[in-house]
Amino acid sequence: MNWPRFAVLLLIAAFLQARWIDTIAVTNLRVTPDLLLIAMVFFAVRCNEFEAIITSFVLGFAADIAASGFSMGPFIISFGLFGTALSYLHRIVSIKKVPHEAITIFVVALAAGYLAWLLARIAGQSRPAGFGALLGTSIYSAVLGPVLFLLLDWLMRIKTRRRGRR
Amino acid sequence: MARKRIRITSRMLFAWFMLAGLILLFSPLAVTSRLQFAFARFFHRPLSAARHVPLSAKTELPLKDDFSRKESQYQNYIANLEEELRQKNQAIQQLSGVRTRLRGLEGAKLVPADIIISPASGQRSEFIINRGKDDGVCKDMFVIGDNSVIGTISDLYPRTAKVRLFTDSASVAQVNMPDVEINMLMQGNGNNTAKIKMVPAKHQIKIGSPVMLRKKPGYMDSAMIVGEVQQCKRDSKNPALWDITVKPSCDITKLNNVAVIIMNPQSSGNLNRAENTKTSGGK
Repeated sequence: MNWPRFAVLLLIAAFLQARWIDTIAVTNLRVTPDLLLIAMVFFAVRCNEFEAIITSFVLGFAADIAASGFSMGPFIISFGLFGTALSYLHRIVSIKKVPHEAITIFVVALAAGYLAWLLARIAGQSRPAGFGALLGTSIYSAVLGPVLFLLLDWLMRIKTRRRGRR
Repeated sequence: MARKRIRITSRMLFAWFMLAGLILLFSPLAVTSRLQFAFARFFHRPLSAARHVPLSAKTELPLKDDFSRKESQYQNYIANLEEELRQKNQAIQQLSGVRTRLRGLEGAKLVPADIIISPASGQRSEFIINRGKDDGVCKDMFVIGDNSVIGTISDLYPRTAKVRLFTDSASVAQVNMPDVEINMLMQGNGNNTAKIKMVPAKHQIKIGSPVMLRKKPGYMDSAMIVGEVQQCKRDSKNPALWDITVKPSCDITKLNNVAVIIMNPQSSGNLNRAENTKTSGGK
């Protein structure tokens, strides 16, 4: 894992998520893809568990930072939890084909988004609830994710290793 | 020296990160927002630049629909305002015309009003206007229409008022005529005419002579036309007196709007208060 490259990628993704993502919004609900979540799924299925845990939590932290106006924490926990779980799952089920990647992104986006909303509620924060927007984001991310995976593969040049060994 | 190497396991790392996440989750917003502000400050220039960079994939259609709907709403609102303005201008022109023609109304406030219930046929000749106590209108104020006095305010409500015409059988007004130097009392007949009695036959009354309402300080500072002599004949009971029939100067049935004369606009509130005091005193 090339950590400086990851840091640059993280900054770019956080910046795009914070300001630029609205320009590719679709429908009346202003549905946008979640770039940080796509990156989280990418690192969870391409790296080993140790790296996956770090990248998942760091990307969650970036997602919380990018969502200015709300308290931090929900995305760190949800991204970290699902990134780690996905990394362990990847030891058993290989996620390499494009449809599998798309389905994984869709499911993780739905679950992470719902968990983040739930955690925010538990912590007494108010976030706009909208299953339609969450579903839209999940679908959009699932469609865009496999394309971005190709770009990330080329940028990160992660050597795929046998899972479960460090 | 041998250094003890700390081995960090995946589980330990996960636990630390989860702990950090939970601490952040339950931290006050004021604390965590500093991190967000730091991010915004760090990326201030690229973030502000990004706002002005359009992408071709941006969907304009929903926004356009929204804008067109809003635009339509605003256009309707503007049309309503323009129509209201036109009506106000019309009212102002009418009232300023009245002022120019009638010197006695200089300094008086004319409250334009629309007739919302037309005069009823029968003995009583009254109608309702869409101005009331809230507009500064008081009881017994004079009402003009087509540059002549047509009646007085008989009943008052917050947003409406009842106007009693001079032709109403319950209406009595002090009038005079230019050629006759005596004060006369005019009483309504109920059939769109009024009667003037008790005028000695020694005075010469001409058919068509104007009948002027006498000035009433506080309510009207100069005489104004109220009607004209329609018929003049000897009183059947006392031939030494005239029985004069007066026809109103304006056709009430064709009247759509009138104006209420408020001679002392500043003290109209005082009049209201005085009236209320009188009423409560009477009780």
